[in-house]
Amino acid sequence: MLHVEQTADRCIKCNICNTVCPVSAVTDLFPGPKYEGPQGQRFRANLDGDESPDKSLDYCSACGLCTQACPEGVMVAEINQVARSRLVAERGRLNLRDQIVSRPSLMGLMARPVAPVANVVMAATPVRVAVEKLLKVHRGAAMPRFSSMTFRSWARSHKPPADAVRAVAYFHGCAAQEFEPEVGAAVVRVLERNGARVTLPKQGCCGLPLVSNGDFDAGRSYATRLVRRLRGAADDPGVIIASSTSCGMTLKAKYRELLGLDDTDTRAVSAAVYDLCEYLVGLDDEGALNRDLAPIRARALYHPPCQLMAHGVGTPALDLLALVPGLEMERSRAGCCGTAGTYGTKVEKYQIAMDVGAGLFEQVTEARPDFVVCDSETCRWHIAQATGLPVYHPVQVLDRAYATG
Amino acid sequence: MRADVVVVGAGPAGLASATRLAEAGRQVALLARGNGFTHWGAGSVDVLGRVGGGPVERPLEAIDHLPEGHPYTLVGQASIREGLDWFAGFAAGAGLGHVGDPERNRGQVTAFGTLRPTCLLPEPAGGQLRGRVAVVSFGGFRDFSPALCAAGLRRAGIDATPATAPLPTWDHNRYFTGVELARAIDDAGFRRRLAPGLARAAAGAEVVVVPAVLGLNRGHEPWADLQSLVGTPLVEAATPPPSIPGLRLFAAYRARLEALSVRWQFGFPSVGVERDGDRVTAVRSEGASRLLTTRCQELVLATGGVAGNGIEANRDGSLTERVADLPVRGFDGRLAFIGDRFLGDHPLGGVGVRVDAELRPLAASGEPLLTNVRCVGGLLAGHDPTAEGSREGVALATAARVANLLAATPVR
Repeated sequence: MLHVEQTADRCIKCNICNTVCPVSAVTDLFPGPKYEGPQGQRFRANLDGDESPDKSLDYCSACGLCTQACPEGVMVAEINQVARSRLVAERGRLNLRDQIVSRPSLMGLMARPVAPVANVVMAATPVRVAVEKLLKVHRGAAMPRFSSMTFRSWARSHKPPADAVRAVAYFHGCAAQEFEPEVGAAVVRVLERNGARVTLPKQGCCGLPLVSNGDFDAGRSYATRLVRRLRGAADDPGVIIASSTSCGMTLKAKYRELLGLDDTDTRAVSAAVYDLCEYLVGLDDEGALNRDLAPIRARALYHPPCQLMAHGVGTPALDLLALVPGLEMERSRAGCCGTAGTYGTKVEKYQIAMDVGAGLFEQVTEARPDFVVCDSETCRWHIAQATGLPVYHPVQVLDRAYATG
Repeated sequence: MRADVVVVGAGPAGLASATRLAEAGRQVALLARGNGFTHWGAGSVDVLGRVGGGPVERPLEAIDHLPEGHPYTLVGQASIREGLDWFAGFAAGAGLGHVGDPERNRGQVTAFGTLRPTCLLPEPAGGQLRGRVAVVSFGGFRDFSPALCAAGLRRAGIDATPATAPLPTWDHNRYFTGVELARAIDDAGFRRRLAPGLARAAAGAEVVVVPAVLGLNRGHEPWADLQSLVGTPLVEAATPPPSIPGLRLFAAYRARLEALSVRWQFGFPSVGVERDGDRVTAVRSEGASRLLTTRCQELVLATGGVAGNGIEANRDGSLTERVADLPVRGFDGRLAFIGDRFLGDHPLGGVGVRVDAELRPLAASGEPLLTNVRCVGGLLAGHDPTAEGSREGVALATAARVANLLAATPVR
C-alpha cells in the first residue's frame, strides 16, 4: 500500500477534485484541493525544515470529498492533512483555541460538575462575544450542551437483558459520554433489541480533533492509549461498535494513513471497528435484524456526513430507516454540511462553514421535514443551529420505533 | 450495501445503465472508484466519428460495416437508436437539451479550433458557425486561448477573429478554472454585468464562440439568458478538463439516481467478486478498513478500459480486468504498449473484454463465463472509443441493451 504522500504520483491533473471541493467553492482563501494536494506536494517533498510553501491549506476542512471523487486513487485530503501537520510543527504548537477545541473529553470533564450553569453561561450572548474575542470561537457557532450525567453513569444503572445471543463492545467516544448520553443509551437499547450484550471497555478520546487540527504528535499519544484500551475488545468480543462516524473513521483508517500507526495492535483494533449502522445492516443481511419496528408517521431529511462516505460502506442508515413504516426519507444533496468537526466553530472559518452548508439548509427549508437525521455529532449540532430543526442520530429514530413496536 | 443490480463505474456507461435499470424498477447500487469520463469529455454524444483513420459522415450507416465483435454490431441498430433517444429525453428533462441528428455527424468546436465529429451536442455547443465568427474568452481565464482557437477555425476555412471580454468585478481574486467562472455565470446579476463587454468584444460577428463555462448548476438557462442579453448566437467550445458540460450532465444523473433511490458509494475501487458456479453473488469493494460486500442478482461492469482504470496494464504486457478478473488479451511484452505517435491512437485504447450478444463476458474458449455479469461501455473489446470517436454512443447503446435485458428478468 502506498504512503499517503506517495499517492500524489497518481495525479493526472484532471481537476476533478477541485470541482467537488465545497470550501474553495465559497471562499478565495482556499485555492482547492488539487493545488494544495498533489500539485503542492512536490514543493514539500524534501523541505527538511524549510518553510511550507503554502499556508492556505489551513483552510482545508478535511471533508475528504476530493479523495472520493479522484478516479486515480490520489488521497488528496489526506495529503493536505499531513501537510497541515507539518505547518503546525513549524509553528511549534497549536494556538490556545485549537488546543482547547481539540480536547472534547477535557472540556466535558471540566464542565460536568457545573453543567447546568455552564450551559446557561455558554448560551449568554455576552459570554459568547467574550469567548469569541479571547478564544476566537465564533459566537454563532453551534456548541454542544454539557451534560451533568455522563453516558457511562447512565450505563451503570442500566440493566441489560439476560438473553443475549451475541456480544459487542461499544466505543461511545466523547460525544455520547459528555454531551449526548441519550445517543449512547439509544445505541445500547437498539443493540440489545438485536440480541446483543453490550460491553463498555475503558476508552477515551480517539484524538481526531487533534489530528484534524494538525497536532499529530498529541493525536498519536491519544491514539496509542486508546488502542491499548480497546485491544482486548478487538479479540473479545471482536466487534467494536462506533456511533460517531468520524471517530469510527479515525479508528478504522486514519491512525494508519495519517499517524503512521501500522502495528499489529492498531491493525487489530481497526479491523474490529464497525460503524453502528454498518453493523446493523450486516445483521439484516444475515436475516438477524429485529425488524419489529413501529410506524413513525413523519417526513425526515437524511444527511450522510462527509466522513461517513469515507468509510466506504454506502449509506446504511438509509437502508435501516427504510424499514421504519410510515417514515418518508429524503436524501440530502450536499456532500458536506460545512462544519467538518471543529472547523466551523472557529471565528475565521464560521462563515465558510455556513456558506458550505447553505445548499443543505436551503434543501431543509424547501423540504420542511419534521426532523433531520445525521450520523455525526458536530454535523447534527451545526445543522440544528442553522435550521432550528431537531437533528437526530439514526439510532434515536430506530430506538423510538422499537420502543413503540 | 445491498442491491438487486450492482453497477460498477460512474462514467457515461455506468451512469446511463444505473439510471435506466432503476427506471426499469430494479433496485440499483452504484459503486465507483471516483468520477469518470463525464468530467473529462467534451460533453457531447459521439456515436462514430472515424473509421480506419478517415472521418465518418453518416455514423448509423457506417455502423453496418463495422467488424463482427464491435459493440455496435453486437447490440444492433435498434439498441443504438433507442439508447440515443432515451438520452435525448433524459437530458432534455433535466434542462440539458441536445441538438443534432444520429444520421449525420456534425463538428463540435474545441479549444484548439478543431471541429471534432460528434452526433448530439448540448444546445449551447450546437450553434452553426457561419459568416464572421468572434472567438471570445474572458479576462483572466487561462484555460482557453481565443487566438489558438481562432487560428484553428481559420485553417478550417472559418472567418474567425480572437477577442477577450473583460470580466466584471467578482469575488475571486486568485487563479480560477472554468468551474469558478461557470458558478459565477449562474448568477443573473453577474450575467447582466458580463454581457456588455462580451457584446463589445463580439461586435460585428454573426456568431460568438466562447469557452464552455456558461453556467454550472442551472442547466442551459444561463447560456440562453446571456445569448439574449448579447443579442448574438453563443457557441460553447469544448475546453480541457474539468468539462463544464460534463459536470452539468453528471449533476443531472446524480439527481435522477437519488430520486430513484439508487444507493451509491464513490471513492473506493471494486476489487473482486464472490461466485457461485457461473454466477456472481456479490461484489467486493475496498473500504476504510475492510472490504465492503454488496450482494446482488446481477452485475453490470462499466469500469472502462485502461484509461478508465477498468483494465490494468501489467509490466509483462499482460492485462488484468480489475473486478471479476475477466480474460483480456494482452501484448507480447511491454514494447507493444508504445504507440507510434505522441497523442496518436494507442494500442491500449482498443483492448477490452470480449462478450456475447447479451454482453456477458466470454471465456477464452468463446463460451459465456459468467451468466449474470454484463459489460458495457469502454470495457468492451472490439472498439477503441477514443480513436473511433464512439465513447458515448457505445455507452448508451450498451446501457440500452442491458436495460432491456435486465428489465425483463424477474426478480428472484
